[in-house]
This record gives sequence, C-alpha cells and structure tokens, in this order.
Amino acid sequence: MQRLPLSYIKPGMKTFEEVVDQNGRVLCGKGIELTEEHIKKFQEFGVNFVTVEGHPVKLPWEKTLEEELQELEKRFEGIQDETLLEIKKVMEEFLKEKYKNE
Amino acid sequence: MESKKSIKSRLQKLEGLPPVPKVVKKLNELIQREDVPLQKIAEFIEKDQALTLKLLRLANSPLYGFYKKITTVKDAIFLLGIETVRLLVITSFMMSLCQEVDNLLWEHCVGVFICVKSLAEQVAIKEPFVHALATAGLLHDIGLGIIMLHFKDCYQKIKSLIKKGINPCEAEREVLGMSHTELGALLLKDWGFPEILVEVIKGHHSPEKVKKFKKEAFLLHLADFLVHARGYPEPLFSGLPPFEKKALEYFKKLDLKKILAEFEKRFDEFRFFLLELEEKPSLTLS
Repeated sequence: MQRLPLSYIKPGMKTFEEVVDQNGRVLCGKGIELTEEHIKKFQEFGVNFVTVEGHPVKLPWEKTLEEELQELEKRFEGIQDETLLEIKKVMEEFLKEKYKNE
Repeated sequence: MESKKSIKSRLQKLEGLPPVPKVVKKLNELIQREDVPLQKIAEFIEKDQALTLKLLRLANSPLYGFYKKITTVKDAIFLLGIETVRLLVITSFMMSLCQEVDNLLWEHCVGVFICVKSLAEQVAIKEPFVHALATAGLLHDIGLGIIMLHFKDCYQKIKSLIKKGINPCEAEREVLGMSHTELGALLLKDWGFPEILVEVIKGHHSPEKVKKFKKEAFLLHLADFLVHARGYPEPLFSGLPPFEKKALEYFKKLDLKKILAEFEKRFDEFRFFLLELEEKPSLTLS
C-alpha cells in the first residue's frame, strides 16, 4: 500500500482503506477502483491523502528495507549500551512492519 | 580562541543576520502588548511581501495540518491564532536559513518538530507547552545554522576538531566560546521568545542541567536523539549524539513504535510538500 497526496491519485488505482473526510465521513469504501468522479468528490470534500493498494508511484526518497536496515546498523555501530540497543530493536521492528505492508 | 564577548559583538554587528528575526522581535513585542489590535499586527506582517508569501504558502502546507484554505494574513491570524502565525514566521526564516547551509539541517529540524509534538501529546503535556515544544523542535539548532552560515571559518575548525574525536559541543566551545545550543538560546532570548523555549533549546544536549522546564527539555532531547537514530542527523554529528538515558526513565509509558509510525506519516507529508515546491518553481519560497 502507498499513502499519496490527492494530486498523485489517478483513475484505476484501488483504495487500500476507506477514504474519509475531515469530519470522519466515509467518502469511498475499501478495495474500490477509483474513477474521475471519486477524485472530483475527494477534491470537493477536502481530502488531502489517499492510501491505495500496491506501490504505483516511485518517490525520490524511497529506500528498500535492506538499505534501511543496513543504514540503521551503521548508525548504531559500536553502541554497547542496552537502552540504546533497545531503541535500535524497536526501530528495526518498526521498519520490518512498515515494509511488510508494502 | 575567541571570547564569548567577541562572538556576541560579532553577532550584533552581523549585517547578514537576516531581516526576519527583526520582524519576529517586533512581532513578539506586539503580541505581548494587549492594546494592539490583531488587524494592526496583520498589517505589520503584510508590509513584508516576501514574508507574507512564504507565510501563506506554509500555512497551507501539510506541516501544520490545517484544512481550510488560508489566503490572507488576517485570515491566518483569526483562523489559526497569533501564536501559530508567529510560528509560521519563524518557520519561514528557519527554512531559508537551513536551505542556505545544508538541506540535512532542515530535514533534521522539521523531523524534531514532528517528533517532539507526538511525544508531548503522548505524555499528555498541556497547551501552551506543546506548542512551545514544537516551536523549540523547529528552532533547536538555529545556533548551528547561524554558525554554518555566518561563522564558516569557525565551523571548519569545529569540524576538524570533531574528526579528531572531540565531542561536538566541546569543540564548538573551544573554537567559539559557546556551543550551538548556547548561541541559539542567546538569540531567542534577544528576539523576545518565551523562557521555556530559551531553556529547552539551551539544554537539548544536556537536559540534566536544565532547572526549570526539565521535563520539556528531556522530551526535546529524546526527540532529537530519535530523529538522529531514524537517519535524519544534524550535520554536526556523524553518528548518534550523546544520549541521557534518564530521558527514557522519565517517560516510562512511552510507546516508541507508535511515535515512529506517526513520525513517518507526518514526515512523508512534509516531503511531498517539498517535492511540490521543487516541481513548481513559481511557488518557491526563497
């Protein structure tokens, strides 16, 4: 899944989760293939971000999980302190979970 | 080594010290005086066209998460409040400063802004302190930005001392007579920012030493460390900055994973905003 600004959303993309407006009102269900009409409606209701299935857009700051983990290792190189290693472990778990959904 | 006094006088003489701090200083004065109508404050800001443009662009950015379209400074003051408008003014200054020296610094500062806000909300810090902490997050390395931009020779010396294994804040003290944390606090005090900001910024690498606002200083220290650990460092530290473990003992019930998830989401929103600025040069802020 990928969370994208509305300007990146194109007809044919599929919603990964419900699209809701600022007041929590559901504008579109989960797993729906989006049309021009949907996108227009999102604009009218002030939706800024939509989460869609798969990974339709390549973004310049994106890294692979391997790169992320390697860099994390490097940042914590030589660290022995248990508290800091605990933080590192939480980060590692977080990254793995993040990439599992993608 | 230059003495603190000579650094201070260099700072005061700085022609390059950008005009925005003057605006901020004046704004701080106007906000404190209760007899000044908001309309007057709006007019004061609007005199500076470049600033007005940046301010409105930022007001409509995802960084602050406002959903109504804001088109005038008056709207901004009435809809968002004067405190937020002050934050927008200082953000636009910080953004120009950071982008002039190193984009890494801007990413780092925005990262700490986002992170300390989530942390403050999770440990139930009350307003107006959440707002003050978020501002402190954004501005905490302002001293470093000023050193990198206006004391380039000193910055190179500091970097070479750090390479020899000297602790960054110590290296700064050796070359400048004060660290970037102390310099930042000095500037913010001079510009009329509230005491809490001055104190926590001064103590963001040494929260133990902070007397008043200790809890807030520990939060900023933790946010700074987490943002480093997530891979958005300030240019001074190549690895991780020193970490006072008490920061974690202080806040036992913290859910770090939740903080990280929230951080990632908000940081991505910010990156989309920057990308949009790059792709539409007509909207460029600088």
